[in-house]
Amino acid sequence: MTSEYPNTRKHYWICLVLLLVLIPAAILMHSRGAFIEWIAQASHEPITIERGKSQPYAGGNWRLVDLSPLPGRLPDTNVLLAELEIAIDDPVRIKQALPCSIWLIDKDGRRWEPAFLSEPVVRQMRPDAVGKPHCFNLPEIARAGTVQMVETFLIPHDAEGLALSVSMTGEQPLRLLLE
Amino acid sequence: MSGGLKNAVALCLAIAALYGMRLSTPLYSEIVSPVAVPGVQGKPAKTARFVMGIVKVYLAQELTAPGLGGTRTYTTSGRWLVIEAAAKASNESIALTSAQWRGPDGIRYAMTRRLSTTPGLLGSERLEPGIPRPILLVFELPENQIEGGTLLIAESALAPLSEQLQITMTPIEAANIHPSITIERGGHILPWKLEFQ
Amino acid sequence: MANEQRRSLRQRLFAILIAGIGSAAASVISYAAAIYHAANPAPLRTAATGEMIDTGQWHITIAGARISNKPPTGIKPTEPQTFLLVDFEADNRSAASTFIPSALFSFDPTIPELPEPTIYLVRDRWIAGPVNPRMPEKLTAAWQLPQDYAPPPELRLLVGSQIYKERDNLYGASNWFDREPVAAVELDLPDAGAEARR
Repeated sequence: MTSEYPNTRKHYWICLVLLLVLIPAAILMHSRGAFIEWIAQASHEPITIERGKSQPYAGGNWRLVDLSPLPGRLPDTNVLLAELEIAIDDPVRIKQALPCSIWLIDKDGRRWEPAFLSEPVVRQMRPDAVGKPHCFNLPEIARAGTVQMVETFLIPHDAEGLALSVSMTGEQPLRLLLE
Repeated sequence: MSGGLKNAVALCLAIAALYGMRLSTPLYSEIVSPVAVPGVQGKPAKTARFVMGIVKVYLAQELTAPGLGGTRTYTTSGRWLVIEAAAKASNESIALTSAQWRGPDGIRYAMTRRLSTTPGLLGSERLEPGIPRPILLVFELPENQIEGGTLLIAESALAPLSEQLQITMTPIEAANIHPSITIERGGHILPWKLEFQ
Repeated sequence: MANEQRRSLRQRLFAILIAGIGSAAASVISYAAAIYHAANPAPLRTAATGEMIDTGQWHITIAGARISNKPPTGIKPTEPQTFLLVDFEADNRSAASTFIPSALFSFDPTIPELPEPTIYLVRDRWIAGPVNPRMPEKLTAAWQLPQDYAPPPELRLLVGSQIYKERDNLYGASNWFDREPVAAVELDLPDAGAEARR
């Protein structure tokens, strides 16, 4: 055989090494870009905004007005009231970027989703925040001008380093971190 | 060995190997079944996303609970198993929706759906990270499936490869067996109150 | 050289023939079995009320049927409606809590435009949830009869069956599947005329 086909062993090893390249390439191709998108999203740092400053994002200027803790009904818990102000200058772009997701993040990386029902303590201590819209009301209220949004979160009283994370699906992987 | 005998032996070995591989192929339900996290009653059991501990277990013949249009009494041909537990989310807001009882024979019993508006049942509240909440679990079981059973708790019964807590339950103390248990509405911290007859 | 070629050709043909016989036999046998089962279907057995019917996943005992103007909850509906109620007892023989399948009951002269039945638990006088294994329950199946339908004094109820496939044909998952009716029960409808006239 060696006389008919020289370099058999060399070709064999070259093919084996090529496999190491081809199999991951095949997996990547099969995922149709989803794998690459996932890596891009996971490694993307959010745009950090300090309290009081505003940042253009998804057709509006976002600003965190306040994060106020109110006493919660359960022992050792707080109800955190987050107030946001969005100055919308491109309502079409914001509508295309919907739906919006909001989370509260602490320094340990724990994530709280906004509460469904309004807590009675908000009605007692902050009646001005009761009727204001939430993140999921954006489709109805997105028009040029300033919009005030409110979200409540139920958190343990020892959560520290709280920041609000906002992400619009149409603008991913960009997301905001309002401190 | 002659060539024909060698061929025959090789053929038989190949058939045996193929048959063995077919028998040992796992079922689809085993491949996508939830990842089992074992736990023991009496100690908090941890998965990556939540922690749960069993506080008390009661057995009753009859249950009275608030229902639509007043309190109703629920009878059963087996027994009612009422479990008071507490759980807390670890990293994210989650909702625990799946609770099953696996009897000693491997038969799975879903949590009863007859009690619709009883406060504090599993799935009525979303668990927030860092805030432990009490959870009530009620099962309707035949008498011979209670001893040596396992409690299976998961966020979702259908999501493949999610974690499912499998808590081995100890035998119920005689003091916790009552002829009738009444579940009443409680306050915010403990949404229910149990009374025994 | 020509001799060798002819011999190797014959050897190859012989090998193809041997390999072909096996697959040909398999096709013929499966076709023949399917045709035989289609030509000789299992006879539908007649069961009496009170007799246990083994459907595979369930043990069903039909108690009786009646016509009523209110569902088994006892609450009269806002608009006048007629309900066909079939009382039965079901014992779940599988290994997990299961709902009563909606394809379990059908009628022999099919009632036109009949909606799906709602299954009620007699104990609670409310809609039934999943029935637990090894805990037989008394249930009532309620059909809301179409407005212009006059129920006959006798009705033939067909009870369907289920088979368990350890590996189904789509995912290879284990599941129960509905199959042909396995028993027929003759039901007398008392007061059928009286209720219809009410």
